[in-house]
Amino acid sequence: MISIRNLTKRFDKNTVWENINLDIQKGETVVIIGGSGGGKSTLLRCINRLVEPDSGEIMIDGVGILSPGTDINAIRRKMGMVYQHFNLFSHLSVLENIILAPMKVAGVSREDAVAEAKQLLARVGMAGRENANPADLSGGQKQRVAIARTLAMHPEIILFDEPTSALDPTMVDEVESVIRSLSEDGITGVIVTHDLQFARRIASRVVFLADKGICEEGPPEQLFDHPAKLQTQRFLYRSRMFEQELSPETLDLYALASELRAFLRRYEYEKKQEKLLPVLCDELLYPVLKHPDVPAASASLRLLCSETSSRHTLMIGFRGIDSDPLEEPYLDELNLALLNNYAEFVLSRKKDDGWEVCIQMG
Amino acid sequence: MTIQKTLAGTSLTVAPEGRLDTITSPQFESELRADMNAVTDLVFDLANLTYISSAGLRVLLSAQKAMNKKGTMVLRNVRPEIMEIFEITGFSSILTIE
Repeated sequence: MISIRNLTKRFDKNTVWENINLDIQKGETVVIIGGSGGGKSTLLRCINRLVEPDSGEIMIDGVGILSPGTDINAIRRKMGMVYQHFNLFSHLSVLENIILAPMKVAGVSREDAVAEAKQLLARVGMAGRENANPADLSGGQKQRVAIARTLAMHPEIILFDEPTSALDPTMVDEVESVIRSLSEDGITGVIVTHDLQFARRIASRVVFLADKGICEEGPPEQLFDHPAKLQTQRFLYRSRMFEQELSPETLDLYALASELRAFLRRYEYEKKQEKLLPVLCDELLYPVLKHPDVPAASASLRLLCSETSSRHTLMIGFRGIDSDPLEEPYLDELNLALLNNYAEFVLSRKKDDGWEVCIQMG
Repeated sequence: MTIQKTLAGTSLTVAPEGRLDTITSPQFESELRADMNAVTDLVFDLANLTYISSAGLRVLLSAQKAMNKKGTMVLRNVRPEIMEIFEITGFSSILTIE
């Protein structure tokens, strides 16, 4: 259905990627993952020519869309696009948002467009909400309306640019089930996302972009659980890890707790684990890094999240201390009682340059 | 955090709002100390306290010790999440919670 050959894109003299070859079959849900700045969204936007590639070819159903004589509007009618920030018209009702393009572009009568819009709203679980104002909807509801609006043009292909990034984790499910239902109806989906949990669940095939090209591709189980390339392994490992260097001078407990919380929320987690984060700051990091007499010189903090369970691990390496940070003079019974209550277990061990504390988060 | 204080004769009601943690506890302690001398009845209204760390607990403990010598101290309107911390740390048996 979509055939990409030797596609190359440069911005000024920087090559985003070169010689990309990718075939996408009808009904597939292909998810493109990769580091920030790796050109995921650029590749997606080349498929409907919102961005012009420098060289190569893109064929949709055998028609080269980059050729000078191509009717790009006819090609674009086969394709819908769903954006991270929904892009609904805020001054129009849900219904008006959906019927606008069918009436203006496809020449459908208002009566038919309204009838179909109602069906589409039911399909995305929004029946009866046609008169709502977009501002009154949750993020998940807005994204489902945006999908209904795209469906109103009967696309064969839908391009999704980070469709879940602006959503609260609790709303990802509702959007995900709508996207899944599309592939069951034979609509081809190409999705760019940085949410690897979502990618694993939704993809029939995952494409990992790195080093200016496709580094590895395959079914999600293969790519996520048995990545063949070292590059992919590193990317997956790093993506599960939050890392931060801490020093007594620059320690900002509130900022740190909120960054840790945001990272943890991308994974399956329990309330108790979220509660551990401020406790970690108050009962361990502060007493050790800000000890009035023998503070640690610095610390490196790592939160390693599990993809398959809610057993996450915190590792804090304190440098420049000679004694166990879990004991006096750093921590007393009160600190430990609080830490131990919210953690599964807390351990410490001597290292060459200090001490390391390992906290299993349940 | 903001701290509301109401002094009526020798009775002082202190209502901290927000988080009583490593960062805010020193301010809480000095506000408390400023008014404690003549107080015989100390009431903490914790309706708007959402989090307490060991540093906050230590301030409550030293206030309790001071009040043991000269009057009473009670905690009111304790939220469940704060109560949980009092229980974990054994503070629920040291403090008077109404």
